[in-house]
Amino acid sequence: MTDTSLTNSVSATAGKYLTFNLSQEVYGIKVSRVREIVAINAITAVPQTPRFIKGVMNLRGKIVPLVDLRLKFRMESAEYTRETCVIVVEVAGLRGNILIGVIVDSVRDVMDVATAEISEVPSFGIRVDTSFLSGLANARNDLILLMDIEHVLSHEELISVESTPAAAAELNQDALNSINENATPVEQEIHI
Amino acid sequence: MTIHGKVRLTFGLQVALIAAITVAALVSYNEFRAASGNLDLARQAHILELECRRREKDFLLDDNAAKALAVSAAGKELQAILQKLSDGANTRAQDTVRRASAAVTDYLAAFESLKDNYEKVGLTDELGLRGHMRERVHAAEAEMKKTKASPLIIGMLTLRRDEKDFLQRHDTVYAQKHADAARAFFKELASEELPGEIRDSIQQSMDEYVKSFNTVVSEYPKFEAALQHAKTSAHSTEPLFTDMVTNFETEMNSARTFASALIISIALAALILGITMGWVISARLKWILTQLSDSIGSGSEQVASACRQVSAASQQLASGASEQASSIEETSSSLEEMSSMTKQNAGNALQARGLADKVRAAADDGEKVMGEMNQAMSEIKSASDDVGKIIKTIDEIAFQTNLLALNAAVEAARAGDAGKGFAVVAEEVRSLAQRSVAAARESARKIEVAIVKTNTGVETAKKVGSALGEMSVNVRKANDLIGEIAAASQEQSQGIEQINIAVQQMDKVVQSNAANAEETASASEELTAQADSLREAVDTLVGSASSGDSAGSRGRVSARSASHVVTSTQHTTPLHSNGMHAHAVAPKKVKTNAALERIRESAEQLIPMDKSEQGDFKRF
Repeated sequence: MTDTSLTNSVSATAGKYLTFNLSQEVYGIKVSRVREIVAINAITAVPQTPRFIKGVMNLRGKIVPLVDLRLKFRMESAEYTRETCVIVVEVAGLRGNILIGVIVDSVRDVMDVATAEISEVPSFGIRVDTSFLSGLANARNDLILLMDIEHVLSHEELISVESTPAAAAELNQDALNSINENATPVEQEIHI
Repeated sequence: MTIHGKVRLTFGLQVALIAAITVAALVSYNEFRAASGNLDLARQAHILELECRRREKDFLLDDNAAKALAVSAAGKELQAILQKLSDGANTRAQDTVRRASAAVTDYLAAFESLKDNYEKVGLTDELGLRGHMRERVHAAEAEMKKTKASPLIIGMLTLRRDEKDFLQRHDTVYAQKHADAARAFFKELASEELPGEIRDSIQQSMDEYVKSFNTVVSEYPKFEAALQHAKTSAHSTEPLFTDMVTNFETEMNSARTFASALIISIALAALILGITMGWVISARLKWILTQLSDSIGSGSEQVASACRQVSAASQQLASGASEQASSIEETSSSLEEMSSMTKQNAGNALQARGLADKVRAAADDGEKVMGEMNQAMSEIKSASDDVGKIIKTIDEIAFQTNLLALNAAVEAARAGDAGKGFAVVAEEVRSLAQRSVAAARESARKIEVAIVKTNTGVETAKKVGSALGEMSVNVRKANDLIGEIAAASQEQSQGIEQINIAVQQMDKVVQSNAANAEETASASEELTAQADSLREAVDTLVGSASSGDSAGSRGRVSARSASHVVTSTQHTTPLHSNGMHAHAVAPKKVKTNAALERIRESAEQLIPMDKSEQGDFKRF
């Protein structure tokens, strides 16, 4: 139902978004991708991982890798505060969906974003990769950067993320695509 | 030599001369007295010599042995006197004394032989040959009376008669008669018939008797010769004594004459020397007196001027002293004021001390209260902390709730339409959670503010406490200082009291000073008068000294009195002494006025002076 091309077009769809703060900006993730929001707990650091992977955490018996979005977006790192939260998202891995914890500064709200409120991401130039943004929403006087979380975590990264906590798995473009493909039904499921 | 020495020398000479006169008089008098004593002795010797003669006569008349002893005693006395004379007399009289002594010795020897002769014969019937004769006759008579031969007794009586006649008349006729009668008696005795023993005894007694009588007759010429010798010796002695007395008289007279001549001559010498020295000394004295009176006159003038200066000065002193006295009285009153102020100061200091004590107590109380407040603040702080913790817990819970609500919302969203109602609930829960978070945050903020304020309050309280402590310390110091001030004020008060006493004493002293200065002024005025009278006396003295003197000294005196008049007219301050002085000089003034100008001119010629110097001089 939505255009899932990687060009700079409006790929975001109206619906419920979980908004959160990162640095000064407000980002939004589709609620359908969100499994759970937890406060940050004990993190077990894992060696031989990229810098933005802070480690793993135990979520009711499940081992969830943690990605610091600030580090991922090459922002300067910040202290973890009481408000720092982990948004556990569900992305499609090589062997089904996998859970990844995304560390954000704070969680704001679950809000509805209408289609009219969504505008496309302006093109900054060829070299600037804005593929992880699905659109901009201007809601309640806030400009919300609507994030496509599956684009945020690139293939290699996802491979490393996937291989790191669980059994090593190959992750390729197709798999990513399939994840993208699969995202819709999940969303739809949520919307149902 | 000084006049003193001269007077001493003169006096000494006079004394020496008087001593010489005295010595000479004493020597002469002694000589004279010795001479007169010798004369007395000589006269006594003469008297004794006559006494010897008188006693000799007594002896010869009285036939008494005691008289003979008296003669020899007088002779011995006479010889002792003569010995004394020969010892004491001078050579001129010595010869006559010696001769008189020899004559007396001769006479005494003659008298001794006479006396011996006389005693041998027998002074009375019982003594000597006469006694022997009588005893023999009485023995024969006793024998004769036994026989009763009358012719023998008659013959014996005849013998006795002839014997008495001879002894009375010392005539050899009676000696012849006696010899005849003896022969007749012995013839009768032979013829008479008598017992042999009686005849022999009569014969023997009568023989002895006759023999003794014959001895008496033979002794008589010797007696005569001795008597004659004594007489001639006495006769030759008499003129010698007269001569001796005369000699001693002349000696005494010569001694008297010598003494009187010596004394008169020395006295004359002393008189002449005394007059000469007196004249010399009086001349010298007069000269010195003139000099002295000149200097005394100038000196007394100077003294008079000095006295006037002293008088003026002491009057100034008196006025100054009275001014001083008044200023001292002012000082005294100022001191009184100061004393009262100091006392007030001391009282105020004491009050301030009490106040400071109270302040210190209040500060101490404040400190204590501050401590309590601090504690309360701390308690508030801990309570706030507790509240903060609770709020944090609430916040945490709210956060968790929020998260739960978000999760619920997510879940509701994922549930789609079925979860719409749940989503609403979740929204509500979330809003509640957010409100509670907001409330908790507000509370936390307020609590934070409260905690901050409490901390500020604690800090402030600490500051206040330290300030109070400092204040307490300072108040203590201030208290000490005030106490010291009080003590110092007390001491100051005492000191001022002492100063007051001292000032009173000073006042007394100054008053006595003023009185003394006035007395000094009057005394110096009196002294001026005295100096003037001294000058007058000196004038008189000089006048008397130079009354018989030459005109030179008189001119000097008049010159001095003239200058004296000048000075008296030049005095700027007319004192009463000046009047006296002028009065005293008045008689001379008439005489000396004309000479005065001349003398002054001549004096100015003699001592040329500057005008300024003249001015200086005129002040005197």
